[in-house]
Amino acid sequence: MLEKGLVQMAETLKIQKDNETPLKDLLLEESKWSGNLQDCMICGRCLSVCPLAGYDGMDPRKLVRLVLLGMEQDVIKSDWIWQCTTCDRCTNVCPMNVKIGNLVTRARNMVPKDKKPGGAQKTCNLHRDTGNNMQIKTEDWLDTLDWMREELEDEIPDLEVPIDKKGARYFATINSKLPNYHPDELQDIYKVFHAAKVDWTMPSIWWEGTNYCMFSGDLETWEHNLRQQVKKVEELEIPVMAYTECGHGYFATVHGYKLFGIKPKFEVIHVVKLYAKWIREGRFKLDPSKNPQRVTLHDPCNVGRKAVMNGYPDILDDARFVLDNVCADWKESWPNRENNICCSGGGGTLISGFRNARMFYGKSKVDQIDRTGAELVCTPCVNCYDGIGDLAKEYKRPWKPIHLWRLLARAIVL
Amino acid sequence: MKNSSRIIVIGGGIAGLTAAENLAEIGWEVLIIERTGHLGGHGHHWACMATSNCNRCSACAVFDRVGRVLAHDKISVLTLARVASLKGEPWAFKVRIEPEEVREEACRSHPHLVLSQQREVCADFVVVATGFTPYDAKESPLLGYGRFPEVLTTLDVDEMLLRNHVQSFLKPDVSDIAFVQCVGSRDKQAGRDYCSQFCCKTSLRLARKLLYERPDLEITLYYIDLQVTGKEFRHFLKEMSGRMKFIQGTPAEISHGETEGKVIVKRFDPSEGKASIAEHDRVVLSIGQVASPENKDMADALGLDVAPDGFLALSEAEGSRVSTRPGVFLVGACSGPADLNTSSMQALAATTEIGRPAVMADTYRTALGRR
Repeated sequence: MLEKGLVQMAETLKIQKDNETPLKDLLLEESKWSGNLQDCMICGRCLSVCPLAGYDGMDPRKLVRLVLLGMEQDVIKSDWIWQCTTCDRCTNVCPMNVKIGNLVTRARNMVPKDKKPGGAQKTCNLHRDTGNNMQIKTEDWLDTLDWMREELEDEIPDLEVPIDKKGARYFATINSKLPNYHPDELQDIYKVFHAAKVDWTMPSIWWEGTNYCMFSGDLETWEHNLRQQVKKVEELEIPVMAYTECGHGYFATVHGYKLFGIKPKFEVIHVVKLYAKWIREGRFKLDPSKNPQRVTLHDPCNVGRKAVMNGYPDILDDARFVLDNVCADWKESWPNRENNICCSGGGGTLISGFRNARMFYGKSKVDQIDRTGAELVCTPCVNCYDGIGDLAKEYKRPWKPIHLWRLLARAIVL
Repeated sequence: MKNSSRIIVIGGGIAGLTAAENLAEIGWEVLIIERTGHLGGHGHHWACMATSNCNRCSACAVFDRVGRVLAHDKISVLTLARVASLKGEPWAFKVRIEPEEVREEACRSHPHLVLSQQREVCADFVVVATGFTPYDAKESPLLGYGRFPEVLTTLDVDEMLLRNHVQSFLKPDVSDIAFVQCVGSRDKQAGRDYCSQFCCKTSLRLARKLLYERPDLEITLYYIDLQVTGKEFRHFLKEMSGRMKFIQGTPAEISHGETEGKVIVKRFDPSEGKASIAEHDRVVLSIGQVASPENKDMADALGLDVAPDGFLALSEAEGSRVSTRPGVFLVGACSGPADLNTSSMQALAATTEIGRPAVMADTYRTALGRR
């Protein structure tokens, strides 16, 4: 009936239905993706909350209208769908439940793999072929893990970093940017798990704690990567996957399981929820004065707004609880929680190569951080860390991003 | 007061007052039961919108009607009272009334009765006119109401006008005002997939009033689609379109910009053909009507049904004001959004239904068999 309505509308408006263009048809078939586009009443709320609206003359409302008018080729061919950070602020304020973020993901899915910009597809292929985004070989991975353990030996002589430990309680995922660019942060993670005195392990392969396929719209590879990782966790008979600080990786996992009907034999828990649990259990001795600087919290979209909207466990309260315990002076920014503004690096924009769009988007984020007077912007997400770091450089701001594990590790008294 | 008032009207706002007055005029004994200490309902908060001439806002109708109701010898009024239960059938209802927990200082200037103890009265018919709740704009945190002093609601501005405090709103440095329509209305996600029907007219009247006070004001109105029905209003809109800006699309986020004392919104700028930022000195949120949270209790007490949107449910009889319980009529905003005029018209419709000789004869025959 919906399709009939659309065809009628197109005929009335003398818009030719292009049979080559499958986006609209797909959306109609799978309204779970996009909601009912025809419900859109051009209220404009989506464009008013979109930091990217106006860039290239495009905005979320226009995107929906183009699809409704049968002009989906204009959408698929536009750069805008790759500049969008799929932060879903638009979807969150849509009074008619049109899921604009999903529409963008689906549009990206319609772009042929060889036409996807920047590293969008390459990252997926590497993840599929090597088990991680950065094609880190298992021996290099294990070397890095051990090197970082040695560096920490003076401070923690009895430190253990178990690899592939069968029957451990927690399986830790790691964003591949860590071993490649910030290996020292692995020490923070070690310290947290060690101090919590929990039975944990690092896998030798399929440890990747991201999934860029969600961003490039490569559904097949997205599913493939998830299934490989599930296999690994189940082989090790581990009951809990501790998803370390990566927003989209966590969302792509829990959302992907639902989308592809994967029913793992273990639970996925975001590590920030575990920090909070361990603090409540009294596992750490904490000294907030070790973090004396003014800190503000950036809520990553994927573990805040998008988790809440889709009914997955979010970390909004737990992140605040941890900050209360590890920082001497932290201040909320506005808007926050489900209404927070994306770091400007979400949705795969860090690798799709449209830096100018990202900086345009980030202006509202910069203003928001400035208003808090913070020196450190805490964000439990590796993507947001890079997004915010880039903004500080571009706009020459004194504040720096910091992961929550680092604030926690600094505050832990061993 | 006699113990057998023949009609009980619950709620002393514009709808209840209109029903009471007209029913009394055609010969019924009426008892109004009002929860608060005063008559007039939300209409009491509306300021007169007259400029050099009357703008037909109906605000004065509320005051006039309160006066006529209080003077009518067939109408009694009980304030600070609520209905606890309704038993029986048309022509033989038994209504239990309880004193309302006093939440505000009772207005003692009106010569009506304040209920002090529980009692039961008989009634032939019941008219429910319990009204609505204004949307609480704080439920949309991104709009900044309660966070930014520059953001107000139509209700706030109206009250300032009513109390002659409009100068505290129109300070000399205020030169640019924006109205945002559909705040709280037309939101399927929140279960309010309806138009509140009065807010477009409210904003336009308010804009004209403000321009009358300060002709140099720049006023912008952000709307989804203007719901201004009626031939007079089309004319009014045409007049206003030369004096203020109308921009399609409503902002969902209001923030503090770089300039002190100003707020910014992102909206579609038709002259540029793209979304961009606009700065305003004040933003007025045109809030809609929300079903009263007490409708559920009211429905339980009276044996009525609540519609999925939270308003009291009407029967399926076309054009009728009768509820899902025979003999109980719904008028005004308790059954769906309604402005002052619509509420009055619904009250007149209910009056006609109750007073229609055929209905009276028919129901009377049934009732006689039972008495």
